[in-house]
Amino acid sequence: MYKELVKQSLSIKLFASIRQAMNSNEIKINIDNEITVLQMKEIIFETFPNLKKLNIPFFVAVNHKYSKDSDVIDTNDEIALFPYVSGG
Amino acid sequence: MITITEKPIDVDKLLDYVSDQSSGASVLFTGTVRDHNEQDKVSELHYEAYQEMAEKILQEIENEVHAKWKINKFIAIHRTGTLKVGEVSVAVAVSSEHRKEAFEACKFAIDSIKEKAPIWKKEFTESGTKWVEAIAK
Repeated sequence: MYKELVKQSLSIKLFASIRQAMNSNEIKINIDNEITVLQMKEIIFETFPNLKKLNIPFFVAVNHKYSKDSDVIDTNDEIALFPYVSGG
Repeated sequence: MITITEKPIDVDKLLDYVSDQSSGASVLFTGTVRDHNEQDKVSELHYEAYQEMAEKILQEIENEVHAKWKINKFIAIHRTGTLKVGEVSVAVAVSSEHRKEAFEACKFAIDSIKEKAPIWKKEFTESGTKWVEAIAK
């Protein structure tokens, strides 16, 4: 028997200049069960080369916390991608 | 107490909130929309927030302030939406027995909000619109 790998859809919220450049509040990528934030970034760039071309430095938040590349995520997590902040 | 709101910030209410009879000092910081940025003449700013995360970050900052300083009351409000020149975009008020703690806590809070809260501003100038994003962290 082999385990069937089912790709799942992961939604990523976008904000500010990245949201505007992508003309969307959210993008979706397909992932295996669990991946790291670093792997997710690679999939995002493969799926959305135009986002990579923007060349805007960004943060990834996982469940409302700033993430590290080594953090492990799945489709139950709330993921957001946004440029450096400028509030105040 | 922390809030992210589209409604105008009433700074008098913030001072009323932090004032109490055991506090000898109240410190209020307000950030207002400036009419220029570098060479550009600014007419208004649009603030966008990742609301749920911004609320959590502000709450963490309040918790940190209470852990670091002996203060009595704390309130921080950040506004979102479109603001004209002169309007208050962010305000922090702190009260304590003596002024030192209130000054230090207020500075720490506004510095932390600017560094960590997921909020962005877009400038409206004569030459068009531009997102303001810090380059270095």
